[in-house]
Amino acid sequence: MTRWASPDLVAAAIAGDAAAKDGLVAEIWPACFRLAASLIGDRALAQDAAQEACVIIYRKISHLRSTDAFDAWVYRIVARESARVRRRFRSAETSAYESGFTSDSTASVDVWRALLALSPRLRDVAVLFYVDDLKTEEIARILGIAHATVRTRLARARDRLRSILGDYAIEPQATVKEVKEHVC
Amino acid sequence: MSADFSTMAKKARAQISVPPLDIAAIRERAATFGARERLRRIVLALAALLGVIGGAVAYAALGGGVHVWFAGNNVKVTVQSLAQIREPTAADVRDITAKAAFPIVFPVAVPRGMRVWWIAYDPADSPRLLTIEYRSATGGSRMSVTLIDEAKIRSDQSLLPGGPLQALTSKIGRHWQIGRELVLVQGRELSPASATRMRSAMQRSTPAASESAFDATLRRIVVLQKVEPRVADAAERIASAGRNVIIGDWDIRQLPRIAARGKPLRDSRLVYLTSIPQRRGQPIYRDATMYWPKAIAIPASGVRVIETTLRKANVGANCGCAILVHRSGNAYTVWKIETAPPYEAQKLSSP
Repeated sequence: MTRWASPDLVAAAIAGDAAAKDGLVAEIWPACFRLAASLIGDRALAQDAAQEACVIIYRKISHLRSTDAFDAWVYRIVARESARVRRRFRSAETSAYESGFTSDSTASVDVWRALLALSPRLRDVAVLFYVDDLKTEEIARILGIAHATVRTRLARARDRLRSILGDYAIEPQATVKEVKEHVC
Repeated sequence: MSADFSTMAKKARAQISVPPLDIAAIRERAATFGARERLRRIVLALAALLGVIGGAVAYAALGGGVHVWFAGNNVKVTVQSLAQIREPTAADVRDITAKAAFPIVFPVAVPRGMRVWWIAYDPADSPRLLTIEYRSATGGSRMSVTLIDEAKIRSDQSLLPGGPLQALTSKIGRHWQIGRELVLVQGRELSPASATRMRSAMQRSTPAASESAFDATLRRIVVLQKVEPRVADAAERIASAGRNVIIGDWDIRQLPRIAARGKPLRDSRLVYLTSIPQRRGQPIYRDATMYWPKAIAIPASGVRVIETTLRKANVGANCGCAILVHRSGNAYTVWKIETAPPYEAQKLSSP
């Protein structure tokens, strides 16, 4: 089972089935958009990034060798396109934009404010670690950076989040995950 | 408030509403991209062959950061720098014309419904090459016209294939010459009859006459980021003479913060790209160094007026609307235009 879509659908899309490719993109679209939105913090830009990612996935899925590689591949594409869109719209007036996400929950708003207060580099790592439950080695491969860099950025992100969200339990969750990683 | 951050963050992400997926657009873009990639490879090989056997029919150009080579029905262009303006107005085009190194005959008699989307030119201080990209109101139909100072092309043979040139290569499409200007036209929807009409009209025209006719395909209002063509068209219908700016949800969201800081709203339509790297002979625009000149779309005093107007009218970034601002002296008129058909407009304030 892949995280993004059913292995059968991925396999059919890799084999070149046009209907499967349509189905696959439709299935991964919500997750792609939400991931891009979490990384960028802006709905309109996230839509651009997610669409670009879906075009690449649609076009290059047949180059993929196995379904096992699908998850990491999609993460890499969405993360890269999000970074690209973020770079393109980087200017003096865009450094602290509001997310524009709508939510009834005050806690959700707090979470987004905290994540958006992080620098993009720290946010990428924090989102993939806390929201997507990825291991630090996987994050390093997805972002194309050293494992040690991921751990450093994660520690910084955690400090920053703790200072913003003092009473959220950030550390216990992180500790459990890190212990699991070391054990496995 | 004690809650696990990871759990809360997952919940928060799940609450993000997802816009509908336009699978047809993704399918079409993937197909277009694939075809372009294949064509590029084929023509690159063909051009290399022509470079060996076709020196006699080849021309090369060096104009600032742009290199152009063409032979037979193929063209190769490399760009080290360029300036690009999105949705230009007549004033922007006057600025380009004034700087141009050659008398530009602009495209005339273009197919009905085509509007200028962007213009790229190079070198930025004295253009010798202009690419004008058109699109229809729905964005479904596109066409590009490249105008090259032909005198420059004939003067430099040093960049013929076999030399140091690594280039982006594509089919010319249709091409013709007007005085010292070489015109290259590409567009899947451009019929032979339309191309012939364009060619005849351009050959009959003069730089001044073509510039006046070209104005009809330009925006009459300044369109800042993220405004759909049909919304901008609706805004143009209600815009009165003078300085008009339309802003989309992205800029609407920035307004309170910009107003609080006492800053103006920047006009980000013009961008300069320098140091465009190339990989395997293809320019990688996204890795270029980009520079936005600090042009002002709405001054700080106007931003404050608009922000106050929107706040009083309870209009925010999620209003599903764009905002049209008309400036006359220090007085501002603000309109709200729905971004869905029938694109209804509502005047929020008058001077």
